[in-house]
Amino acid sequence: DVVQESLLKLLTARYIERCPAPEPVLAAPVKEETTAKKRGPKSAKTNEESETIGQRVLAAAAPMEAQRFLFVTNAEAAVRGEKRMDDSPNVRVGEKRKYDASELDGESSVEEDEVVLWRANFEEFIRRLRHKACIENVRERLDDGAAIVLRAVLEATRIPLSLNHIFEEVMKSKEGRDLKTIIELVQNDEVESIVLKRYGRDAYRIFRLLSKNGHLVETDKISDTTFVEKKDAPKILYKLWKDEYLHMEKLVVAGARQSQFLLWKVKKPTLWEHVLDEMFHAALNLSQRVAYELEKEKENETVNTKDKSPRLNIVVHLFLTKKGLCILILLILVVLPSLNNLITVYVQFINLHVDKQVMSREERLNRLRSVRILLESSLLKLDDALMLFHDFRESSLLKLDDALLLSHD
Amino acid sequence: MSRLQALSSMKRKRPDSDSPSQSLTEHERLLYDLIRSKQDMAIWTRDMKRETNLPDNVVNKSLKSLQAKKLIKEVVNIQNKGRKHYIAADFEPSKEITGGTWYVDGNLDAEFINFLKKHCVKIIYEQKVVTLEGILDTIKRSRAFNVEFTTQQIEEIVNALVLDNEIMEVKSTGMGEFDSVPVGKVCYTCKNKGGLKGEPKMGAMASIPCGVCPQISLCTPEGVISPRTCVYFTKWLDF
Repeated sequence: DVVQESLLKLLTARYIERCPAPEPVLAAPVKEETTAKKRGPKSAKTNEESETIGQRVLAAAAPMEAQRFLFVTNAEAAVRGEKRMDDSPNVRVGEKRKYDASELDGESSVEEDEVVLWRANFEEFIRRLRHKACIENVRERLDDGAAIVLRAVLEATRIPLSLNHIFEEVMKSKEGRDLKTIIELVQNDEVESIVLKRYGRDAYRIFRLLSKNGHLVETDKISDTTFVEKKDAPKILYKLWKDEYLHMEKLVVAGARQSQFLLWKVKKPTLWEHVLDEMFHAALNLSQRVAYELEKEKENETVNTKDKSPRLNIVVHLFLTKKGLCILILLILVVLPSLNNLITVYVQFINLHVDKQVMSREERLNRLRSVRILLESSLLKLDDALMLFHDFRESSLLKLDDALLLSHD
Repeated sequence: MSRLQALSSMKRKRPDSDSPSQSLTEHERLLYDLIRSKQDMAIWTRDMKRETNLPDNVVNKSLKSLQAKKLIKEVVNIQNKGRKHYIAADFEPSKEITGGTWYVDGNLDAEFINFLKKHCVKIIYEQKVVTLEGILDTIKRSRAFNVEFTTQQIEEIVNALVLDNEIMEVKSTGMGEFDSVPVGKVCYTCKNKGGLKGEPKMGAMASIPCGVCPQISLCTPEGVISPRTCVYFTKWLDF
């Protein structure tokens, strides 16, 4: 059965997993005599940790690690008859091998007549995408050899079972740190390229200086080091500060002549959140624009098929004259109270009118296709960058450190 | 060129031609002494008028005369470009006034700086890995410039290049390509593989209009500025 085969393949690669139980029962912690030692201590720890009811429910609902990727063919289920779920399956969870029918008999267990629901394993997806992003970045920075090594390292450390202990130790601790550095570098690149494109080369240098420094720098020192005109530096700094890319502090020195100094700094955690915010905003914009372009096309279609009503014609003619423009605006103003609506409708009207006149149907469809491709591929690319800032925030990087330390034992 | 002479940061002092004493009027003498007393700091005309209590036209006339006699000269004070400042002829304006080595007439000598930057990048690219002294040395030997640079000046230029992301500052490991450099010493290497490979990789956000948009904080889905009405989008999607 092709479907079953594909399902199995996905499962063994852990792209999909079992759904958690719909009505979990808070039972006493189940003793697990599963698999290898690695899994054991980890699950024991998880059981102990669940303090709150909420956590315990979730923990109970989530299928045990051993069960997550358990798959039984229908034939086997029928054969086995009744076997409790509590029985420890002798399945080696870590193995990527396909299920052997022989292994199942008499060993693993699943309740009869159980309908198993599957869902996509987001953890795995994100993990893989993360690895891919890091590898690509390393490939850029160093060379293909380094990228291959990194990929091997990342793949290997996922399944601790199959690795040599000593090798593991070295790789894991090094990997964690390297991963963190790579991520920081990529995040920096992303933000710096925004600054370059939005504010210019001088601002780019200034931003990089402050970003590398990490402490407060005075305006004059900035303009000296970055070779920016003393008169221009304050303007650039102010713009960056206003858009929340820089932090500013005033220093007043009371001396013979009271003078005021301005100090500037990049605050990364705050800035990273701000950038993340902008990225979500941009993602929304992209998808909105796609929707808009599609709507426009639909409208074009309907307008084309409708009779060219004489009223519309008159309006169009009026529109083309200056006087007509005013009349049109007044008309709309009367009808719609809010200024917002006025302008939106106006602009949409223009767009509609102009497009309709200028392009043939085929041209329009071609354009639409290119537009969709551009917008949607940009959205995908942006999604990667979003992951970089969302999943790798300082807090989660610290968790990564912890996780690595834990599994190190 | 007086520009390049200024770089050598030697205070030019003309041999004491203090023969102005004969041909100065009383007012001129007063002003001249005042200006001279400020040494390399120069003085603003208004301050001069205040301190000497001389009427405006007298001051102006005297200044013109002194200038003609080449006893004083006008300089641009970078802090206050609108105000006229004067300095005694045998002094060079201080760094605070001029803005530093890289400033000419109150503005950055952009052309010269860029030229020097490009030259340094070329040197670093050719030599793969080079220290500050190495760069200085190469420039000296190439005789491309008829003026000497100090280590500090080259360091400033190189640091700016690092900020431009054109070169990288690294510490020598003593091994491989760093074998000619002692361990731990700071040196510089080119960022891009093959120098002219093209634009550095642009971020995901920077390649869409929103990433570049100055109005992003004003943009809302239903607002005056929105993705639906955005002109930047329209331009971007205009194939």
